[in-house]
Amino acid sequence: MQTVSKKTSIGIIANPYSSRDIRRLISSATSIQTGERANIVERIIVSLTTFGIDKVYMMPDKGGISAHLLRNLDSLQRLKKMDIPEIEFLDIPITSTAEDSELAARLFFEKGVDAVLILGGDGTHRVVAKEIADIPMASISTGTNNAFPKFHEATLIGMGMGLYIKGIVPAETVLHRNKVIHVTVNNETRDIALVDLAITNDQWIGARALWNMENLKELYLTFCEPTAIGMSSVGGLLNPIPRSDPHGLKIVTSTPDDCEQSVNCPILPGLFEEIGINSSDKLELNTPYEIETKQGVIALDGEREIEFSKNDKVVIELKDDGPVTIDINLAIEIAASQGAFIKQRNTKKNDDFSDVKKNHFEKQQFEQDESAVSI
Amino acid sequence: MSELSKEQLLDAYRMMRTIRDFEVRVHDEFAKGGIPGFVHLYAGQEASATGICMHLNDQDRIASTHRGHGHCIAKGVDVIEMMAEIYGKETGSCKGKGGSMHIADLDKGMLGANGIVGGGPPLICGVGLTHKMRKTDGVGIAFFGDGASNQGTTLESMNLATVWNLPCIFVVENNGYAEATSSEWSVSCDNYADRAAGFGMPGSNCDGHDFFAVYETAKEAIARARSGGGPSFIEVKTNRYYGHFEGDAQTYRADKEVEKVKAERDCLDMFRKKVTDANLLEHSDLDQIDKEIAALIDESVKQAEAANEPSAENLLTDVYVSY
Repeated sequence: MQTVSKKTSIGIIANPYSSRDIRRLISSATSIQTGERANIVERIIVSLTTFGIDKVYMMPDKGGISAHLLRNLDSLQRLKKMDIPEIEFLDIPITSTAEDSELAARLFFEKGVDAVLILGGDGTHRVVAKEIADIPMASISTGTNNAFPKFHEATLIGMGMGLYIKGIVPAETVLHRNKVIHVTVNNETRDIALVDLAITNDQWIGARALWNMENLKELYLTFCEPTAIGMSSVGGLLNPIPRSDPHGLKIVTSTPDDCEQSVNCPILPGLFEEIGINSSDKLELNTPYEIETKQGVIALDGEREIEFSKNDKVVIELKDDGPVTIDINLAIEIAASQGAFIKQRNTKKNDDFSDVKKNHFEKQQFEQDESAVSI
Repeated sequence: MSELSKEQLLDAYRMMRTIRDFEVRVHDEFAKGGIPGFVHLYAGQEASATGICMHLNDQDRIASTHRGHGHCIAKGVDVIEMMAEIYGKETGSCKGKGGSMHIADLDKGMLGANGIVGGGPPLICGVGLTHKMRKTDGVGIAFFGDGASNQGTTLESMNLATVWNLPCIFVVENNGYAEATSSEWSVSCDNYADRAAGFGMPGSNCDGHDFFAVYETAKEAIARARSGGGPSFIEVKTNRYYGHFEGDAQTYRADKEVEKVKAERDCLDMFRKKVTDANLLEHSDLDQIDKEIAALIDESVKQAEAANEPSAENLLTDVYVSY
């Protein structure tokens, strides 16, 4: 449990470029506009303010989020009246590519922030996860599929982060370690997938997004929920596997007419495709699997990223060394059940949460979620 | 994702190579003083015109910009005639009276390069309305730059195309600069998809250095328009290798900016690497095209130099064209 006197800080990576790709044309997928992304960050900051978070580091961008936020911080009386955290934009070169998220995440790690908040989709989360080691992350879904981040209103996410950072809820209960798939090509580590790794026999990466299921050959899933959108929906509707189970799912696919089973899946928001299932097996933890397709493209969390040829040896492995996430729902539920949000009006306290912390530690802790992968 | 035949891949490379060699040669000849007027070169942006126009036929119409040579070539305008037009010769596409910024070929569906910034999008609304009323499956494509994206004509056209559900595709070739002004300082939304959403049309961006990314994106937008799905917007993120116009000192660009793009993101180099790595084409196939195009461009300059200028008695002919 962290000490409450420590200076507290979070890092925010708000990707202005997520949910802008070809999937807008194919299926009228979500497109959250820049102004709304900045509003989300603003709501997070307000929420963190109520918990007395000292500092917020922001990834700068040329996509309009930073500019919009700075304008509001400078002009809105509502914000000026609040004792908001100090906000520092990282002094980094802005390339308007994933490199910005990568560098910002690395700097957050070096600065030792207490938690990282990501506004983005599965792709943004993947980039950040590779850089921040065990620093807990929280997420706001502003991507297309958003299978990894759970959906919450920004204000609540700020609350959940504040509760964890200030030690009001126990870290061992609200933090969860996630599984991840590592991919190597010719024994060289190439990348990770947080949710789904798809093998297609496409010839090139092209417009990156994955939507044409005719070329889909293999699917490797860290987890799959029945309510997911994207490639993991295939597993979610076939054989759901919770995030906390110590294994994943491997599916070999084919055209529906060639299979005994098929599943009609929402592979994009607004787009269903029937996927033929050749086989479906448990994906064991810490076990290398060599893929079966000889030439094609590897898509990570819904985006084509790596081209490989028949001369390449592609191996994937499910491990439990993925990013640590804050369970926002659980954090708020625990805090509320302990009376964390109730002010004792007849006593004057400097710290609104001091009673709660006392209550919390005196009461029996919530049982650990035994099914969770331990941290 | 998009399966292209060997012939289509060769066509794509041939088109991009033709545009590149044409522009490099115009750059060289302009420096020698052989070309009158202004020229604005498209080198570096070849994957955009090629990846989009490969989906089009002669009934589909495009409107271009002052930087129009690439669009002309990709839409099938004759290269020999184009070079003559740029030289101001009577054998040119427009009999030498238009020059670089007014090359047109209506038979090919090329409505013209256009000296008016933001002049193309309204024309494309007309194309879209024509196709809709005639119940064809033709489409109209407006190419314009990040500078023109701020013009009222462009924004009004996006509104009109949405209101009338026209088969129009608005393609902003965002090369980062409106003449010498960075788009970072002059475009209110840094994601054009946001601007499109404001008009109620879907918007997508794509890597303008990667032919395959442009090709796939355009394929979906054009199929949508052909099937009655209405207008859409594509932002092609690209770079121009030369200045705004020939003679531009480009003091507004960062040191080694262009060299870096050429070394790392050149569309022709990227294409060659992808198709040869995947064993779809041989280097020798592409080398052969390089030779053929070099000869074609040599011939175009030779013929342009040898051709006559328009005569004084023809000064007023073809000035007004009835569509």
